[in-house]
Amino acid sequence: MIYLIDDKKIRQEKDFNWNNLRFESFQGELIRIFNNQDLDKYKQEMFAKGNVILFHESFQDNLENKTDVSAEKIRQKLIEYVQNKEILLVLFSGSIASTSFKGNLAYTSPNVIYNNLEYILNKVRKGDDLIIENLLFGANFKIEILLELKNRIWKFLFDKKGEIQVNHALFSLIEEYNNLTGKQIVLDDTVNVEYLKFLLNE
Amino acid sequence: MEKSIFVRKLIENEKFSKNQKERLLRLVVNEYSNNQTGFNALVKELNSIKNEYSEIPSSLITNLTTRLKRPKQNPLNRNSNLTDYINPINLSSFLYEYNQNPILKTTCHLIDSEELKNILKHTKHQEYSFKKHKTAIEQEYFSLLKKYKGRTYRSTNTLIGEYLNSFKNNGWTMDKILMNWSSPELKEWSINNFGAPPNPADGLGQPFKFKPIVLKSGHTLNNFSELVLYFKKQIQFKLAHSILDMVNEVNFQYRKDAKFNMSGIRENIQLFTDTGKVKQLYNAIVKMSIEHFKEIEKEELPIFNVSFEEVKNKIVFSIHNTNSQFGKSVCDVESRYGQNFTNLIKNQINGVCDFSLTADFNGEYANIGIWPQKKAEYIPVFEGVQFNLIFYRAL
Repeated sequence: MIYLIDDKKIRQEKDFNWNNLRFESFQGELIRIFNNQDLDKYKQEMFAKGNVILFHESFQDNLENKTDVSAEKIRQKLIEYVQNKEILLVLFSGSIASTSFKGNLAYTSPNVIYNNLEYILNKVRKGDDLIIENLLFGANFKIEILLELKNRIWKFLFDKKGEIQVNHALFSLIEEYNNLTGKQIVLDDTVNVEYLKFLLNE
Repeated sequence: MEKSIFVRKLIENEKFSKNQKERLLRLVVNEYSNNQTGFNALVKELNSIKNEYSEIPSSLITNLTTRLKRPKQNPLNRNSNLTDYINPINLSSFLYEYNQNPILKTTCHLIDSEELKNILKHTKHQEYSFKKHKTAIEQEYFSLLKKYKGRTYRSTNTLIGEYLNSFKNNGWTMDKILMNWSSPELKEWSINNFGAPPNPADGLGQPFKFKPIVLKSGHTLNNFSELVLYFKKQIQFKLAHSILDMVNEVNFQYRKDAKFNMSGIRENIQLFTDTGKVKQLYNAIVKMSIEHFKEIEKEELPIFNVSFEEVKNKIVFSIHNTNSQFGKSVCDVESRYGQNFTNLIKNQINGVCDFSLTADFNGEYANIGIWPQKKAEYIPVFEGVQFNLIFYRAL
């Protein structure tokens, strides 16, 4: 089951075209939680093995959902609780610049969640297993991940020409690229940008 | 024996000369603290000696009683050049509240339909107006500053001040970014794009674009949405922009000078803090340790175990140089800080985190609270030198 914990109803409908009708067509696969009362109702079953929790990071910052315990502590407790459990937890927020994930925990933007939601719900309906990459990148996640990385590399190299100093940012991008593709692009203290682009395009 | 009785007996003892009596009186007062028991009795005794014994100069007695009454300097005040201690919990609380405030959060989040609705409600306007939004931001920030008056970390106030208001037009972060919420280019864009927020979420229009800003890291910021999200990274660590990313970035500069083990870093810990200052602090500690290593001419490379973990409501960031010793004794550290520690406390630590040192002090092993200052706790054994930076969650 997928638990969508998001207090922003207006955003769901206006920004992402997820209205009540659309949600209701996935009643068997998705439970929507808008406030603390809903959360109380489902908090026991939510952490069952195999479940997916999509959690709007500012959920408890909403005045209607405030409790005595600070929202920050609640978020941290949630993150600690799902560690080493067979549950996928994705935190989403309008303050996250790029998608990142480690183990069963991920951070992404609301855009990514709602753009991939229908695909994920259909997968659950079919009884397919879900991995965190599906939630974040959809069906063709391997290609999407590589394209997204290449986009970041290209953005980094965009305004650079000739011989440049290899700094940590560039080193990390190429290391990530090597890990993903199995290639072995080796960087010295400096690198020629045009040559690097050639290697990336091979 | 009570000090007052001792003093009486001393004065009455004919074996002591006048000079000896005066010297002994001075010694008694010198070792006496004004919060020990018998204080009042001692002062009373000294005053009666002044009246009864002419051989002891009354000016001496007056001097001694004055000295007794003056509060003794804190024996742990290791360096009088340092400022007053600022509790770092104030910084976490301040940034947490900033992030939660419905208007201020629009300066560190992209604006979606719900954020837009909040802005319109607050500004009492049917259509989005950048001018009114900006005024609301200033008012809310001013209120928050007032609430935390005297308790916030000045450097973070400067960061946010530059980001919102071009405070001194020096730019914000180490990149000295000049683009901010008060930039004339943004104002002009808002006039030409009335009704459009400069940092919209996907699907809510186009952000304000500007000439690319190239950061020291080599990344670029191309529009106001990217700028806003970059600002968010300055006030919080979390998986999406973790302390591990920061540590790796700093370590890269020293990759030929040291070995690093980061397996103790818990990336999933969220923390509101001034992340730029933490980066400066980490860099300073690593650099200082490597320089010390070179000074003592060790052939091997320094080894660092770096950890970041939550322990009983405290978040501890430790930098442990395992194959070293601290260059001073426990007593030396307790009595006076060197220039390195003084600078660290003044420029990075005070108000951001607490700081303690656990080390092998040339054969003595101890944990010393450097900021705030605490007496050394001796421990059975410890290898190396560990810098502990301690953070606290918002209340």
